[in-house]
Amino acid sequence: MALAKRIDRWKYVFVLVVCLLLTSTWLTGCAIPITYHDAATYKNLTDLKAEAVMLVETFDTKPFSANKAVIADITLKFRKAYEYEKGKGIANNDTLKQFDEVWKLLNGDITDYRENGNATLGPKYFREAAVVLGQAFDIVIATENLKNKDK
Amino acid sequence: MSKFTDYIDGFADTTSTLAKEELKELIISAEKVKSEFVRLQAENVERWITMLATGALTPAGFKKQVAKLDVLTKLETIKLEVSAKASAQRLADGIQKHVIDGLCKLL
Repeated sequence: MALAKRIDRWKYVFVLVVCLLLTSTWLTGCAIPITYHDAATYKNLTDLKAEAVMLVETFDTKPFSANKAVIADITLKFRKAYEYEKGKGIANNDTLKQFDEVWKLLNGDITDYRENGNATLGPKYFREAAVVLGQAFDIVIATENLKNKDK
Repeated sequence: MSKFTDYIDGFADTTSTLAKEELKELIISAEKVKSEFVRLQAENVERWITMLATGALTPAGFKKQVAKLDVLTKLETIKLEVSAKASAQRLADGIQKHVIDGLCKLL
């Protein structure tokens, strides 16, 4: 009889501990600041990657004046995509930070192109800048793909 | 010998600032690492050193490219953080669906 009571008590403690663990995991999960996978974000990123990389590849050979309109166009597209991500709120901070970093890369390339061209950086500088920009976009695209699909 | 190692070996360094063997070892061993990110960065550095040797990149251009590795690392770090958060979110969603909405309702 005493043994049965003791086993019941252990069962009770075990169930209690499991419930506490599950509840704490669930509550932590509720507080995780992360958005679900978004097909629009994925599309924006893949479109921007293709356009931005192709644009930067031309910087070694084309004069700035010939690319002025395309640069204005991609800047607007990037801004629109950025505002879309910003609108998702604090849970989307990781993606927003990545957008910031990619924009710094692209904007840096545009600034170098406008100010010096490849004269001071090397005849194939922007070809390599385009490679790095593509790699940066790939990481952001992969990050979006790691997110869970919404229920 | 590759252009990369030739360039490093032939680099005039009177002040011995450059640890040539360590630099070569760093790049060669990083290219063998399983992580795609690390391997890619090692390949970038090797390619840029070769381009520096052939004049396709100037020293200023080379330094600018190398500085971009920091940005790629920041992006990769965020990716790893998101991966961890997504795993925790999957677990929390699973508990909600199977334990809170499922098992607990039957108890």
